[in-house]
Amino acid sequence: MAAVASCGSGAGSTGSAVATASKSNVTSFQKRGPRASGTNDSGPRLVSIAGTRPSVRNGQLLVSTGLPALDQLLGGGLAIGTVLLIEEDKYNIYSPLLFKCFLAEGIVNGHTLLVASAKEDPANILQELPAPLLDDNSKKEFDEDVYNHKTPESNIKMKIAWRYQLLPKMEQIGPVSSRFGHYYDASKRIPQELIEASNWHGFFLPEKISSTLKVEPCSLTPGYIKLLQFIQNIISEEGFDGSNPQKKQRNVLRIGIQNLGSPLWGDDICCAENVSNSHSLTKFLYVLRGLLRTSLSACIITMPTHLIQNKAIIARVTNLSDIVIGLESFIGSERETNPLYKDYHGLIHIRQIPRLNNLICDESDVKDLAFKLKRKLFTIEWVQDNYLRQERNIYPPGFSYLLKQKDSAWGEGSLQHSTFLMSFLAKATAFASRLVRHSEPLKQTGSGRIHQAAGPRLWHDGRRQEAPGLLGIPL
Amino acid sequence: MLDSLLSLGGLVLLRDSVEWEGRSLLKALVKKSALCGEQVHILGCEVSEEEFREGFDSDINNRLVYHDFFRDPLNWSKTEEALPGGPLGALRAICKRTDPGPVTIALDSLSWLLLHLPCTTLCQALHAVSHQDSCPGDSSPVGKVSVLGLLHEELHGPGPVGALSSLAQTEVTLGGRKGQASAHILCRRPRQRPTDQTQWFSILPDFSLDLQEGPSVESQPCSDPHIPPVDPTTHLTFNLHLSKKEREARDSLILPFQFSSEKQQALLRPRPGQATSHIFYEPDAYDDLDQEDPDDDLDI
Repeated sequence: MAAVASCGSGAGSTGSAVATASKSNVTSFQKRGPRASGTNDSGPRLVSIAGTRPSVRNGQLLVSTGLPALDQLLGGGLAIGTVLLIEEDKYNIYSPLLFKCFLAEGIVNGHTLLVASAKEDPANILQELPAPLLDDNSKKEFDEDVYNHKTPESNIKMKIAWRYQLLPKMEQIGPVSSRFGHYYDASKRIPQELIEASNWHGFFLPEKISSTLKVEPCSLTPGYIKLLQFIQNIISEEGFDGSNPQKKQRNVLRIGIQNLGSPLWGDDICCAENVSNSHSLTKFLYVLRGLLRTSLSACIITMPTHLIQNKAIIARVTNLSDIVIGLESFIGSERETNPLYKDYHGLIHIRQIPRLNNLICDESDVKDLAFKLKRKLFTIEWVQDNYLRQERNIYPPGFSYLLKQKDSAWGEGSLQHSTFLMSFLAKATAFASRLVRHSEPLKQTGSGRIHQAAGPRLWHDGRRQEAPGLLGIPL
Repeated sequence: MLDSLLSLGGLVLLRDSVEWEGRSLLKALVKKSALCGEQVHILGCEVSEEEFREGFDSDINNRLVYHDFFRDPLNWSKTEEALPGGPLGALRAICKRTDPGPVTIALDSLSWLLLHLPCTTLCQALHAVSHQDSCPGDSSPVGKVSVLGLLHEELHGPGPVGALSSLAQTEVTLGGRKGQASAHILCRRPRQRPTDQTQWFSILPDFSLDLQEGPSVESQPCSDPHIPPVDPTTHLTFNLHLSKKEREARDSLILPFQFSSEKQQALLRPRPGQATSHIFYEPDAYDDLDQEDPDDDLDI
């Protein structure tokens, strides 16, 4: 107000401008740009595409891989612009399922699909996608799945290892309500109308290379060159890289490439150890990643790495991909008879997780992950879950028993051969239970204090601690 | 199952070795499909036509369509009867025929083709041939193509063999024991678990297949008989087993951290006969009666 008075004698228009400004704001600075009035067409806003969400850790935009359990293991999902490489299992039974779940997730969310294969016609692949589980009947199907697989031993609630019951399960039962990840029923096919309503492009190699061309002395095999050109055309035509300003809603392109590196693509890394053109696949991945990073797309690739003879190529391929998951099925291997793995169909190895705009990556602590394909559903679990369900494999059956019961087996003689370990554990537990203060103030109990404290009792600030905490060992 | 190999279609890989040769099995399967009335094409690259036709009856020999690449593999004589494009051209020409009816193609042998052609080209051609009938909406057996390929596995490294077996629908590995031949059949169906089976057989002089039982009565258990399942609870110095009485007592045990409703009631309810709680305490020699000074028992 003083400013108005002092320059009121100045130019009248500016004075009145200042006066009006100062009436509405405290300062005379005015914010440029749109007001936060909630209008849709002004100002920067978060890109909100259906089926994506920003990662809580590094802010990358994520899409679901089609399996919510896998999303959890990868830290929320697959980041847009990255490549998910799946190393196929030996008989190629489970990796097509992951591939199809990824594509089915794209259809359910309305993303554009690009399916490339040298083995099957993409139209046939799309016909075989699994059907999404809807809200109302999914819970019933989950429950009946759970009940079908209950064994008598698993009915015992965990009594000793009761804390493990509070561990979060690896996947949530029921559909995620936020519509990010969906569950799929592997025994049913996706409804035809969903496929027809979706926008997809197919690349079938025998159609694109119909004649036997001479192989040009080029670094990439012709199949790869054609695939890269096809992908580039789709990206630029449909504007996934922002080249055409799109009036309509922006969308994500999901690319799926099946059996990359197999001889059907014209690449002979699976056939010989000393390959003439060993850099073809690695150059393809490099160019593909460049295309993906500059567009709103995510890619899944399945590769038969068990056929690749030169292990250095596998290492290079792993480095050139972002997320690498290996599937190892138990069929035909000696692990099939191992009782530890009897409920599972194979192991999942998460070989690499990217560090996107980060110094560290989200590697989960759990290393022994196994998958099983139930009648309808593909689940991923920690292998030790099997043990935790049968807790007597961890704790010998007589342990707490001998601590508590009066008429325990001591008298009957069955534990008279108890070793030093057992008795030591018993004594250690008794000692530990004296250390734990059950939140009683010191005044009430007299015998709760420990007299064998090592060293002089030094209080930090000369005063007695009022609340010593649960484990009150004085230093 | 050995006799129904060809009914599945696709690529059937016959892997043989020096001890157990597979050409006789190949000829037996060729004879069987010829007798079934299918069109049979043979691409003969490794042995001469006379040797291949030896042992077949005349009516079977009339049904076989033989493409000879043994006599003149590089087409130096430049005669008209040589098919253009070599063996692969012949393969493609067979597929382009529009005759209805199942076709069986016998490749004798795939090893020869692997040594003369790049592996990727061969794989692509085989895939195109064996999947020719997978047009959408057309599931009738018209045009069903079975390709029988003889592969000598000792000639190749693991790479080409692995690549071909990943393409194959069925893989038959020949082996045997004590003069008795066996075929280990691994059947890969597209989205199901592969099934495998071992079949003992012998080939009669007229190339018909004789399925037999195993050579001796001993049957192999599925797990290795030398390693019995190990029970870790034996030879321990303490007892890990529970008797029934012990088990009942264990089950009825209430753990300290479990809060059942009885325990809760017992804790909340004041104990009868005690209005206030008493603490009976006998001080120790080391015990500090003065609650205020913690350093009382330090002797400085």
